[in-house]
Amino acid sequence: MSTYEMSGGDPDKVVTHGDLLPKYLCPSLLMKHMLTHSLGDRVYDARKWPGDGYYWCSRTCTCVGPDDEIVHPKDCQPGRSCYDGPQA
Amino acid sequence: MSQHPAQDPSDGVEITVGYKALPGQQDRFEKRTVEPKTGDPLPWDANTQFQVVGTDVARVDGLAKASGRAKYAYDITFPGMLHGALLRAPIAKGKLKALSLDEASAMPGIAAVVALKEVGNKVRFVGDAIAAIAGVSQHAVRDALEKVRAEYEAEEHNVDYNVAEGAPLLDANGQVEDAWPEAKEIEEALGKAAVTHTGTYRTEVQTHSSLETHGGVAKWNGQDLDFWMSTQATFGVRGELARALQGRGIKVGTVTIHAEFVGGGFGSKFGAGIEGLACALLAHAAQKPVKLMLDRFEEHTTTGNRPGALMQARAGVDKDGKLVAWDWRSFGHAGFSGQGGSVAVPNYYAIATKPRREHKDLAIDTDPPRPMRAPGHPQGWFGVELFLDELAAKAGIDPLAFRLQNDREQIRQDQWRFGAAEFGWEKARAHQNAADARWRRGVGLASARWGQLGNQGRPAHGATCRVHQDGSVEIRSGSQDIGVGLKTVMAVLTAEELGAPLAAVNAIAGHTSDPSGPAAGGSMVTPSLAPAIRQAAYRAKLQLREMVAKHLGVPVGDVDCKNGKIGTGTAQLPWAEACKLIGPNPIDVRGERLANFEKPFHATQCGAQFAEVEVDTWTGIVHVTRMFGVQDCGLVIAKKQAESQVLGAMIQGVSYALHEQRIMDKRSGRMLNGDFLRYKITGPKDLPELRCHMHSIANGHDSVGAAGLGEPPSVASAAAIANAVFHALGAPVRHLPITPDKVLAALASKKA
Repeated sequence: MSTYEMSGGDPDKVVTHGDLLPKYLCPSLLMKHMLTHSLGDRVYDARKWPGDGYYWCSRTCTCVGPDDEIVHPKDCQPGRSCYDGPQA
Repeated sequence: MSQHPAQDPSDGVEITVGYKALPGQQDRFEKRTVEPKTGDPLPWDANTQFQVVGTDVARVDGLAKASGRAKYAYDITFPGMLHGALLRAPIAKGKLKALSLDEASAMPGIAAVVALKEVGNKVRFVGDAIAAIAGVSQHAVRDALEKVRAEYEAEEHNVDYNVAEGAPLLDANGQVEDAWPEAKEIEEALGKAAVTHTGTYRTEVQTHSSLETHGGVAKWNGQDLDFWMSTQATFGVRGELARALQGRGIKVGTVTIHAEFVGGGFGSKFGAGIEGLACALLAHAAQKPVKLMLDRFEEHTTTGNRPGALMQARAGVDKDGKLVAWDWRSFGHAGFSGQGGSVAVPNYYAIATKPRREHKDLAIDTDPPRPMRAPGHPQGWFGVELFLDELAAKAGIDPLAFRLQNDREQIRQDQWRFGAAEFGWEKARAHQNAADARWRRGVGLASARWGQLGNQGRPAHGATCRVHQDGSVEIRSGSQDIGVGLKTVMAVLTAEELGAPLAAVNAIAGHTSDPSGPAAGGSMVTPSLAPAIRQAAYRAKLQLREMVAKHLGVPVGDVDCKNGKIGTGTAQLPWAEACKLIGPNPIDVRGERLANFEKPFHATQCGAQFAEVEVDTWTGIVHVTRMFGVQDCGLVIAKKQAESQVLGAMIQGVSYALHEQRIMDKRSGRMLNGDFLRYKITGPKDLPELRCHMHSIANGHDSVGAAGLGEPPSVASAAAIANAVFHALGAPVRHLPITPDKVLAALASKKA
């Protein structure tokens, strides 16, 4: 769901990056907002996922995971072969 | 100035927030009751009288930088240090079919060779890293790279957004042709509007182009890794490398990152990167220090970029010029990951109907975008602000009057009026270009917004303050100064709180052995760290006051620390004398960033910029002649550095508006202008007269009230320039950069 949908189109409704974060995200997935401690900050556009859309894996230091597939909050969850976080 | 120990947290403290009138405007002050947390000094507010804060101090590390004494990652060397480099894929899409490193390993002077991909792995762009080599010299490494036997299975690739999967159809004029998705409310509002308008806007990929390229020097000592890295996230890459290297038995605590001086990042240096991991792996394999820094082509093609955007808007105004309908869709130019192309748009233009904003990222076979100075904003603001000027022109309304009519934020309303007067908007806008004039002049304006004012962090951001008996002061943070002036901010805040001479304070940043702090992103470092720095200095001051009170035989509550003196009335000790009381063991305290107060004066930062251009209608060359910016910056801590951030953002905006674009070769998938000869960046000859006004606002957000300035001033510049070009030509150029060919095409279309 995008921030636009979450806010119901209300420009004053605050949606944060944390609101867009999946619960069982792989701890190897990194994004800028984790490093600036700003997952609690407001999102101003219509994105569906937290951060600026630049995600990388701390095990490979690239945008591709140990399984040679692209990393993304929607994918780096339980069930992926290289997932190494808490199970749902 | 706070001179007293912290209040009981249950005691509210009344502070004054807001700002003194901009010339020609009125004061906007309000009272707030806040609750300082235990251990924190009383908050600074709009009535605080400062001694050092806000003055025109010089950059504290300026001489070190200008004289070459400042050591960047690139400058670090060790006896026996090896040089590393990466083998990059020559294809844009496919698979690694075979890889043999044996011959390269056997080359003279080669100490370590590491594979970064396995046979069968996907290759996703030209420049994807395949292997890394370290040797005694760069020449030896280059020779060895030639001996790596890598075979690829190439697949059909695409580096053209126009034909990317999901790209909209465009008509002959470059307008999005696809029908708008159904939206009854918007359609109705548009139907009732007095004037409506539709437009399609484009921006190109801009690379970060930091002067210092990515990379660093890795040095192992058993299980300990020291890494001198060009990074904007010391603590982030520390944890990242520990995780990436966990198979080698290291823990986060055994990794130390050093980034005391960093030659820019603009958002591209949050991760260790494959170059960082490769450097650590090579150093581990060789058991020698290794330096691996990227070259300029690698920097342009493998370390991210500001994505381009395709944007379309339609909107309508009523007979009074008020926005009554707004519809927006955008397409971000991502890389192979198909993400990161977000486009931000202003949220403060009041629109009677709920506005729609839709976005889709388009993937092509290139390096993915990374955050870049106000991610998504310069492109989105260019699209929106130029669109609004076109709509205003259609409705016969002056662009300034249009903003005043529709901008619902009071701070920017004041900024619009003040900025227009300061810039001479009315007179400049009234200028009439002769119909046959070769040189045409125009002026434009654009708004800006940024949304972050800093946070506590987890663990809480910290700083260490040490006061020594020789009068010297250390203020330390493990966060990094990527060139924006953090060390100066640290020194100024410390001198202010301690009442010490600024010259006595030595600010040190960038070593993870010091207290933790945020990555340099989102304009977060100064507002997040400043309260911790101030608290550290405050706690040191409390100890020093007690020593001085005891020495002078006066009540500690009477002792004041100000202007390099400590004491009360006639019983005063100069700073250096007072510090002799400390003895051989320094005062050594840590400050901690506490939570923000609940209700700041304003949750965002506002800004407005004005630009004037002169266009040569024979050649199509645009010259920006002058710019003026008014920028909300919270508390101005170091005035010269703050202004430098705003003026620097304007320069980068000129570059974005007129020059910078990545040009891809569709056939090879390779960037054609991956150097500084053909990737044009604004130089001194292109620069306009630049002026800014720092609009200091007591935001009541925390004990300091600082705001960051990395992003906010970079939002409006390109949009203001595009609007000035529109005014000069009478026809918009809807595609950045505004190069001569596009100017001539706009003129031709106007004639047609």
